[in-house]
Amino acid sequence: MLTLSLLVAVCMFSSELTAAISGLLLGIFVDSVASTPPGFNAIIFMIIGVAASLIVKHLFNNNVWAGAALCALCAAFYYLLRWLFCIAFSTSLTDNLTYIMETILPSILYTAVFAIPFYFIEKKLYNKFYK
Amino acid sequence: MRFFLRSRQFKIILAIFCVVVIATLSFVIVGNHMSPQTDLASTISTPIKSFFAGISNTVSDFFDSFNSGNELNLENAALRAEIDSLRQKIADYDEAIKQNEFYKDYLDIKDENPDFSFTDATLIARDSDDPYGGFTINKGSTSNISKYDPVITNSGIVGYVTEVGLTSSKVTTILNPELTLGALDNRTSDSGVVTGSLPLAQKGYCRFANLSRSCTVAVGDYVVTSGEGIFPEGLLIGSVDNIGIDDSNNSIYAEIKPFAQLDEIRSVMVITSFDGQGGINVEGGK
Repeated sequence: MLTLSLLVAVCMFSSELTAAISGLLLGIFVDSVASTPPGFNAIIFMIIGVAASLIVKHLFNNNVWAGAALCALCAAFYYLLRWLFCIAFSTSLTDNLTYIMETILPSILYTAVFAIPFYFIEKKLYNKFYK
Repeated sequence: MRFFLRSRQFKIILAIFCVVVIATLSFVIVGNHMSPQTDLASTISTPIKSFFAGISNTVSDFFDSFNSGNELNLENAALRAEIDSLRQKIADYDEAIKQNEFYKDYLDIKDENPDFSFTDATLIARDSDDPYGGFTINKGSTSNISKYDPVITNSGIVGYVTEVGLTSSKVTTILNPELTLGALDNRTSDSGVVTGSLPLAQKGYCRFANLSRSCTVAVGDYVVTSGEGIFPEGLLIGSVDNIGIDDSNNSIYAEIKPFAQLDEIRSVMVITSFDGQGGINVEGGK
C-alpha cells in the first residue's frame, strides 16, 4: 500500500503532531475508497503516524534501512488489523492462514520496499525546506 | 517518551483522535451515510479519481491490444465448441430451446421490468487490498442512490451499495461473505442462498449454498435471484461450475461463476427502486 509507505516516510521527518495529522488526512482519503469499516483507516493511519514518529525519535536511527523496517512493522500492524476486522471471522482457519501467507506477507514486503524511494524523496524535501 | 505523554502535543493528538472516533462511531451506529470526514474527502477527490480511472482504462486498453491476440484465438475456439454444443442441444432437447428463450427474456432487462428505476454509474476506484473486489462508483445520494440498492450490469448481478456519500458510493460484490441473497436454479427451481467465501473469491467465484440433498442442480445451470431480500426477482447471477458437499452441514453447494466480469467492470447500473423493494437479507441488516 503506497499510502502507508508515504506516510511512514513523512512521519520519520515530522513531529508527533504533524505525523498524527498527516496520518489522519491520508487515512480519510484511503477511507473514501477502501472497503473497510467507516473511519477504520483514518484512526489506524493516525496511530501509525504517531507511532512511527515516536519510534524514529526514541528507538531507531533515521536511515533508509530503518525506514524500510519501520514501514514493514507498520504495514504488518495495518494488514493484521484489517484482516482481523474484515476477514478473519468470516472464513475458516486454513483459509485464513493461506490468506496471511499468500496475500498479507507479500503486501507487507512490497509496502516496505516502496518506503525506500519515498524515504529519499522526503529526505531531500526535508533538507531543502527545513535545513 | 514520558515527556511526550505529558506534553501539549500529545493532548492535542488525543483530542483529535477522540473527535474522529466519536464522529466515526456515531455514523456507524446511525448507519445510513458515510462518515462526514470520508464524505468530504470523497466529494473532493471523486473528479480526480474519475480522471485517473480514465487514464488507467486507456493505458490498459492500449496494452491489451498487444496481448489479446492469442487469447482471442483461444476464446474463438472455445466459443465455436460451445456453439456446436448448443446447436446439438437445440436439435435434441426442448430445454435448449427454453434456454434460448431465457436469453431473450433477460437481454433487455428494462422491457421486462418496467418498474425498475436505474442510475448509470462508472467505477472510479477499486480497493486493491479487498479480496472480495469491492469498488467505488461516481454516483451518490444526489443521484437517488441509497444504501442496499442492487448494482447490476447487462450480464448479471454485481452486488449492492454499502455506503453512500453525496457524489460517490461504495459497492460490496457478491463475492463477499457478508452478502447472502436468495437464489434459484433456473432449470430445476432448486432454491438456496448465494454468498461468498475467501478461497472462492480469490478465483472469482461465489457459492450457491444450502441446497437440499435431493436437488438436481447440474454444471452449466443458470442461477437467478429468487426475489427474497434486497434483490428483485429473476436477475442473472451466474452459472454452476462445480458441485460439492459442505462438510459442516452435509448440504450440497455449487460454485457459481458470476456472469458479470467483476474484475473488468467499468460501468454499472444501480437499481434505485423497483416494485417490492424493502426487506434485506444481509448480516446485521435492518
